[in-house]
Amino acid sequence: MKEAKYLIVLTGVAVVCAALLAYVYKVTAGPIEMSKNAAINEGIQAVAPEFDNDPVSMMYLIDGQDPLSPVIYPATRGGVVVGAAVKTVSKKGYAGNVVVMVGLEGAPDGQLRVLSTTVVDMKETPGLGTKAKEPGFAGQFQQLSVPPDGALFKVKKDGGSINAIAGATITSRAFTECVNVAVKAWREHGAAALKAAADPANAEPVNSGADAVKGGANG
Amino acid sequence: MASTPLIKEFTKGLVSQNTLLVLLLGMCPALATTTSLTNAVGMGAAVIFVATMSNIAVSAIRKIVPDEVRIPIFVLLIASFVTVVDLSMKAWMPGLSKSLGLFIPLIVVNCIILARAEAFAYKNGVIRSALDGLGSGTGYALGLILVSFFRELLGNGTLFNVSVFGEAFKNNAVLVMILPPGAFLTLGLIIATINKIRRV
Repeated sequence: MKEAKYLIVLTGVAVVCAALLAYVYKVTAGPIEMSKNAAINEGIQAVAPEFDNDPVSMMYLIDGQDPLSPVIYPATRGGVVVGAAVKTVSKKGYAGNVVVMVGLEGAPDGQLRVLSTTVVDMKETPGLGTKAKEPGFAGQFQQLSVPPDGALFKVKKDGGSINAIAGATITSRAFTECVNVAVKAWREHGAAALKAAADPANAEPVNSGADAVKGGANG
Repeated sequence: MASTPLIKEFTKGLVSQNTLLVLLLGMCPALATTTSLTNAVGMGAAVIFVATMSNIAVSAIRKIVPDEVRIPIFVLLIASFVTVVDLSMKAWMPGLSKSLGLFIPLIVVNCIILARAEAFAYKNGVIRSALDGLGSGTGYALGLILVSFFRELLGNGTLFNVSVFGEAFKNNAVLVMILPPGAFLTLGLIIATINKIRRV
């Protein structure tokens, strides 16, 4: 008889808790999705060259199987390609992944410039790694010409020209890696991305892409 | 217990039995979430909500819960309230939710909440339990705010992200205060001061 009471009370509490959570989940699901999309949209607005298309609808995922692969948001004005925003993930952050939106100016096969960058997501040490968001560090990636010979950006410790944040070399490296990956992604996959956007019928399945982006934002 | 005035149940958690600075409970999140005042306030508010709600819920059902299964039931209730906080923060305060990260879900295993449920709410009425949860949660939040005040001010030169000492200080701030050792230093000095005052 005692066991029956355990069972009834435990089940009762579990059912009530589950109902509460189901309700809260339902109420919050919309705003959570919206705030994620808003973060992406704001990021594109902030870094890409001036555009008049809808980069999100032209979104191109380099590898639909890998949620951490770069995502290209091509930017066009009057039908001419002016550049792209590329969302890249570096696994080399100090605390988890560093997700950066990199704005690039120029066609994939032409002279490229890094216009600006913005951090989409990072869990780096507040006040230290998070300084990557501030002009002192991120400003180095503004109006920065990409070497045509394919040389990578590096922090000074690795023989490059980027000043790392004092005490946060790991974050600086991860951030720099994001920029390099973005440049490479636009160079190598930009043409494919534009083709896919122009001809949606032959494009990669959009669904896998959309799911993968969600995963990326969580990661 | 029942003879102590109601207000005492609230105020004891603030000073004489302050969970963070006197009982030294919940130290791990206290070290991790006090890098900025904003984080400390967010974390403190979450703990206040969960402590109060779980105390109320535990106290309300204490007469029908058999002793043998009380712990799983406490954990279930606490986890539910924590998830409510976590989802709400993600929905309406995405920035704060990002910077607090894992420490909101980790409130589930925070010893303060379970200790108050087990030691107080399971044996006392709903109103007393609510005040007790509110008091110990507020005490914890005040502790967090005190620690983060010094850490953000000295380590970053800002309060609530507003520059206090100007840019020159910000660029040469006392970096160690933001790092984990700064949390130990600050917490140790604050506790030492409190002990000194209490003995006099």
